[in-house]
Amino acid sequence: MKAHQLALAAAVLGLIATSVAWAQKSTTEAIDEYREMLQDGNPAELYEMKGEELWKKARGPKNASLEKCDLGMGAGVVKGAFVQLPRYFADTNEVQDLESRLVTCMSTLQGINPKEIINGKWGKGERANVTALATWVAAQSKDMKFDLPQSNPQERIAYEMGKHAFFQRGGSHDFSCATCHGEDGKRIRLQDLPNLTKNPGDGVGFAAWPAYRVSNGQMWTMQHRLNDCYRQQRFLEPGYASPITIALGVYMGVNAKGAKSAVPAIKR
Amino acid sequence: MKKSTALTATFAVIAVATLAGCAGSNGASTPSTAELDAMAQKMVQQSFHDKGIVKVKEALAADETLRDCDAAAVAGHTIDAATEKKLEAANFKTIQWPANGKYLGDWKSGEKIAQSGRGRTWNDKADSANGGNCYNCHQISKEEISYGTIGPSLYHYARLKGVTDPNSPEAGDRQIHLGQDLERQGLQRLLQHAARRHQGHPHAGAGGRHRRAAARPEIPGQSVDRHHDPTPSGPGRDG
Amino acid sequence: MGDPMRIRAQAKDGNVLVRVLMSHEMESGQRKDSSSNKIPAWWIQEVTAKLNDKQVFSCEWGPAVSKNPFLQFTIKGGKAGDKVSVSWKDSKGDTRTDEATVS
Repeated sequence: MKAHQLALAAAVLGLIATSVAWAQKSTTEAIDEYREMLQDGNPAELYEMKGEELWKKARGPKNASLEKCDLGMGAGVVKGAFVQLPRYFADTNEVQDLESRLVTCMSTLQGINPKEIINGKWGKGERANVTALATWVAAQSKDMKFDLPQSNPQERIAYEMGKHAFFQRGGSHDFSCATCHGEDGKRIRLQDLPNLTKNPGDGVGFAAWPAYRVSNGQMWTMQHRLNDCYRQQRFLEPGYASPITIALGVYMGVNAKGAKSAVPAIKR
Repeated sequence: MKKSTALTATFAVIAVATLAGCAGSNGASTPSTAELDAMAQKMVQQSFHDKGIVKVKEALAADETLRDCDAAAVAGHTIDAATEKKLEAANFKTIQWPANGKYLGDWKSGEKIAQSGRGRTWNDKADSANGGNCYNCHQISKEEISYGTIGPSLYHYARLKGVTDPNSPEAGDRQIHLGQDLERQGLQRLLQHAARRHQGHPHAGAGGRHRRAAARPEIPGQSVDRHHDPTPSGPGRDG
Repeated sequence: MGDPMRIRAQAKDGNVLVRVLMSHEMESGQRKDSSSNKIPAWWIQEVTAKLNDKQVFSCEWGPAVSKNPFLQFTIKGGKAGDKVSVSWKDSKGDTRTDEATVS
């Protein structure tokens, strides 16, 4: 009897001790630990695999692969391309980001209509394919440093346009990007917010998308991230790969010069 | 070569027009601030569209307050003191004080409104119960640890302002100061939305562009009314 | 045939550490869509693993396992060059098998 009671008491004490120790870990520490556990086995890898398959597979009305797609460093050169986007392309005479450039290649090389992506839905059809492709392409530049070119006048103008858009308040709440991302050390609820008016560090902000979002089990590219930011801001919806979204990419990417890409990342 | 129609050569058109305008000036191809402004506005109009309850005409309607504050933010400095006073005064006039003169309501309802971030997005319905969105940016009660730090902590707010009894007639002056602080922090508009929704007014405020609180200048480095330390400490530094 | 799994198998101290990332919706059957209709249940019910030709691991799953499940386990006595194969079967009868070589 006594031994049993002692054992029970010890077990109860053990539980109390554990719960006290657990409570002493701060909220942010516990969340960081959870986030670290998520890194191993990032489902983004599944999208990477799918993206690689789509790059090499002959598809579309022209029955061709994307292996000749020029992402800014020459036809078929993938490694290093992500950390130099968005940039100017002579063949379209436009500044383009990763998603819009993939749409261009799918159109010119494979004959897939861009409207299928631009008017499509997140996670479905050709738009989902662009997401998988973007994940794979970006993953080939993992740990490389952002170094967007600003040699072409259009690239410089795009930077200025992005800056204007970044500080433009609108919508019912008069929020701009800067409302959340204009200062150091801020957070929304318990989610840290990178300051995007400058380099926020390796693997953060522009250097962290495409990423897998655990909370909704979805793979998000920067286009998707911008879309949902604007939604939360009570702002208008931007068109997929519209000029403002590309300009914002230039603004953030140039500000992040030197930051290492962590893509594909994992988020809450 | 077939170009995707939606990815129009916007940057190209704008760049060519601007550079052509500057033809003759040697190397001075950087457009002026005014030109960049005009370009940006054009680009914004081209990139966004109506969706759900959010309409381009309302969402992008800029008034003097927004224009001045945004311009300063882009330029990387604060707005000058004179302009700030002028904008504050103009917006202060638009505040609607409680008709029954009561400044202290049911805190339980208030907490519910503060916790809710629902409503007013392009996914929401016009008649949905909109939340105040407060905890996204502020600490308010001690119990709620999931709070943001975009805005200052509002814990012990009345005490920090020296208001001992918000409902007393003697606190009348202080009530006005409370109101001024709220207005200056750009809160009045949000509170009006939340309050009107709670009182059962349908579709509060989206059309009320003329009723607006002074927008906070969102300039990095300008700490007009925000704490960097999320825990409340010391006297309020606001206003 | 479901989407491919990603399998990593590493030999260490006479054992093999296997880490598998599976692509599957794992719908619990409790979620509702935007029209408030329950989304039908659909999840992986059985997972088995073989070292070369011998089954070494099996488990039964239910609706508590999340979307795109990540599974990690250790096989005793494996070595580099061995073949690890993982198979799953879901509630619709769909199956998937993938292999990896122990590194």
